Amino acid sequence: MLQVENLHVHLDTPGGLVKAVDGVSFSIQKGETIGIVGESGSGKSVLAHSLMKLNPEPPALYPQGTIHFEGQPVLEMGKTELRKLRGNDIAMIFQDPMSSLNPVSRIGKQLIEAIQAHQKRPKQQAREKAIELLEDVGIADAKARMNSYPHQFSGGMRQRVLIAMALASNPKLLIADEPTTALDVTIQAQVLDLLKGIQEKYGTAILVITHDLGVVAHLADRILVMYAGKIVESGSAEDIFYRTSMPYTWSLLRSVPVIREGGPERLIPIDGQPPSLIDRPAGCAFEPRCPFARDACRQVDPPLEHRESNHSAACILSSNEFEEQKKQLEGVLTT
Amino acid sequence: MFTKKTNLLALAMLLIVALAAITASSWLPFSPAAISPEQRLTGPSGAHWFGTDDFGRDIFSRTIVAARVSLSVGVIVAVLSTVIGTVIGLISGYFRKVDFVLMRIIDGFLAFPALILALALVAALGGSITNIIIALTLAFFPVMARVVRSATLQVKNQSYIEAAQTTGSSHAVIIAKYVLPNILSPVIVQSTFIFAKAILAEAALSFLGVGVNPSTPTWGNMLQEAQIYVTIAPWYSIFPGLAIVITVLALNLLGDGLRDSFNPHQAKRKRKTKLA
Amino acid sequence: MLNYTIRRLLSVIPVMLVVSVIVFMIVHLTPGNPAFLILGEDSSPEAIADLERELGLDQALYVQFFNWFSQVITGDLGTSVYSSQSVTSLIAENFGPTFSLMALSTVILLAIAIPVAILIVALRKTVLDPIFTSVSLFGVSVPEFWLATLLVLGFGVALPIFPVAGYVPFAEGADAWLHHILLPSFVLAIVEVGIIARMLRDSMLDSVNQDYIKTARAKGVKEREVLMRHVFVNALIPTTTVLGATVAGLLGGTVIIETLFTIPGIGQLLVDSIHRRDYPVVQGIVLFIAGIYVFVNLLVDLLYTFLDPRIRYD
Repeated sequence: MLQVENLHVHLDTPGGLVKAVDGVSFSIQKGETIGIVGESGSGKSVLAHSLMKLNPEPPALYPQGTIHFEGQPVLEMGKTELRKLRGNDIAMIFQDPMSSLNPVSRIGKQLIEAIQAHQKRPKQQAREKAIELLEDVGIADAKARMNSYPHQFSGGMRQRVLIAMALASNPKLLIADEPTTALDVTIQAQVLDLLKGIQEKYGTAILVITHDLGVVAHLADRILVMYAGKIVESGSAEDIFYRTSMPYTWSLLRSVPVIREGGPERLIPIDGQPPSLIDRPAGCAFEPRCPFARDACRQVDPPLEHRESNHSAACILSSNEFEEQKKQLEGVLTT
Repeated sequence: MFTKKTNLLALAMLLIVALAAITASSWLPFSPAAISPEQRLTGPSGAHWFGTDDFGRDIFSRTIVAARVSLSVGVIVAVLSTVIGTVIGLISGYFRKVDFVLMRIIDGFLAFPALILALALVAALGGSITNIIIALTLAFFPVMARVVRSATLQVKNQSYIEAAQTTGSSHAVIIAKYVLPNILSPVIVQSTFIFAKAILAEAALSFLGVGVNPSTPTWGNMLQEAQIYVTIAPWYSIFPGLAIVITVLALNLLGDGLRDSFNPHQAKRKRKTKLA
Repeated sequence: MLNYTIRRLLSVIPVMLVVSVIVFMIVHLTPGNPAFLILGEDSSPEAIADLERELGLDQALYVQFFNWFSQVITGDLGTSVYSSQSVTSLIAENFGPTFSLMALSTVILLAIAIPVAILIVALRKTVLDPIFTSVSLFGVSVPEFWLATLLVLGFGVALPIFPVAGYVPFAEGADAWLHHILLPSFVLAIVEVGIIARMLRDSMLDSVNQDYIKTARAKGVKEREVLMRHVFVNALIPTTTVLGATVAGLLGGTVIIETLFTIPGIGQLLVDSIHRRDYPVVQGIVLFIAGIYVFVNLLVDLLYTFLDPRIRYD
């Protein structure tokens, strides 16, 4: 349904050319759920925005690569075609539900606007549809809530409203950019359940972008790990969690707090900062922070290679080599 | 970078006007008071660059000399309004007990359009330069008081002020050492704007016939005299007016530029769109 | 909301009280004897004493203030020394032209400022923005009366399209009214255009970067509708806060414009009364103008809370 081929996205900033997305390829099938995981600044948000050409231009440039949605080249679309794509075929929900709704416009009005952007429905019908959508995402007393303003809703409710808005035209793909980051832990689970429910009910493909491996573990059929504008590992949730083949993914997993009996496990942050995307040094971008780094890593930037069936990783070490070294290091760290 | 360039340009414009006014007597081609009845209302020429007025006086010389009064009034009003406004604003922002009363008084002053208040005050006091300065100061200090008060309120909540208070420093010391230096930038910006507004207001008062004694050349007085001849001698109105525009424009440019320099973050935010 | 409205209404009281004291003091600042100043140098001592008694100048200052203030409260602003007419009726007679001038210039002001701001934001990154910044800076740097003079030269003398002086009431024909008042209103408006347009532009540029604009675009809403429904409407709310300052500018400006175009409004009456040393009229008009200003600002504040649902439903 969606194919991304060797996509490069640059941001032309006063500080220099930021290579935010640096040669990314992947595809999404109908009804599939994909997770893109990475730290902030890894380029994952820019990548997500590119899928509907939503990055502000300038500064964004698309020097290389293609995006095809159902065979149509997204990057070559004009204003009108893009408008038909946005919200209709691909919808998006954003990180901060507090600021993503217009504070001076009623919820109902904003929902109706989303419906009427793509469907020629009379106002009354659009209104009924809007109420239906609110009920679908679990807003109680939807009819009355249509007249509320965003500030009268809690964060979780606002995210539900945004999801309802995204569903207005029954999109084939829903992009969720950090959908739970701004929410309380308990609300996070509810929103994730809602997304899962939508997937099952409508068969919508979902692309979740997050820095939180926990979020994608629940939701995603396939996970892409992104670092410094590139995909460094991709595979099923099992591949990523149990057959980790890339040091960055391993570090990322170790930095997630896991609550177990007998208290929380020690949380190990990743040393150092993500590299500047303006002047990339030669070699692997993770090398300066990598506990397994060797001299060769400074010269070679390993490409994304198949390991097992659908599992790929970009590391100079083979999966077996990495497994061995990892065991050694973990042994040293625990004693 | 852009703002720095405009700051320099504005400053240069002001210096040129001020220098020309101060040194005028040594280089002016004509005495600003020299009457020559046979040369009444002649247009701009090689001898009289800006033409002559209804007494045959050289408009160029008079425009330059008039800058003295107009600029002096502007400077003095800006300084006095700044001092009075800053003192009241500091007291009001720092001592919450007097804040309510002081601010209601300031609100009362602010309820008058500046020009109306100045006009009424000059009408009551009489039209000497001193009285005009008093009237314009009373018209402009309330704005400064408001600006200083809100800046003081912001600074007051900073932890270093609280720290100074707990070590037992006196209020006067805290205000002088910690508050005042931190509110200087809005004060400087605002005083530049008051300078500009005072020049415009002085000209307006003179134009309405309640300003500086008509025999003293000021830009406002010249424009007032020129009004009758506007159809037959437009140059008489145009040049003194241009002098006001250039001076006030330079001041406003400087104020804007300083505001952007003091607030680079805000200025940038307004010009650049946020990155995704 | 109701709480706020009541508090805001009550806040007018101390302000108007201070305003009254200032207006009262203005006349009592007069150096020398007001009665002497009013009657002139060759008046008899008896006449001066009579006038002093008539004006209550022989009493203590606070008594004078109390007497004057209790009259003002009932709408009695005193009597003109020059025409013996009541000040209230003089203001009422002369307010028509001033109101026409302010109303029309407000319309012109918004009719220029709003499209200009929208255009600037819609065509960002063009040469339009620096041009606009320069023009609006020029606008606040130009003396109104000088600009008016130039426009009179242009459209009253060189191209005689508009009359250069005089006023025709609306009741005597909308055509003639508009014909006389268009040029003065335009001058009055043009000086303030930059302030409103700049504020609107800045608020719109702030709004453009908000997340909810991204949401609207992601919904597939037309760019023009994003600009009008979200960017513009949201920017209108903060812009209302500068309306108060604009009204002050317009009120101050009417004094100059009415004098220049000989329009018989309260501005011209004020200047004439100053020259006639008709202090009760001066006092009355200054108080009236401050009253309008306070009233308009009250309306603006209430409008602001009404426009912003975050305050309205609190």
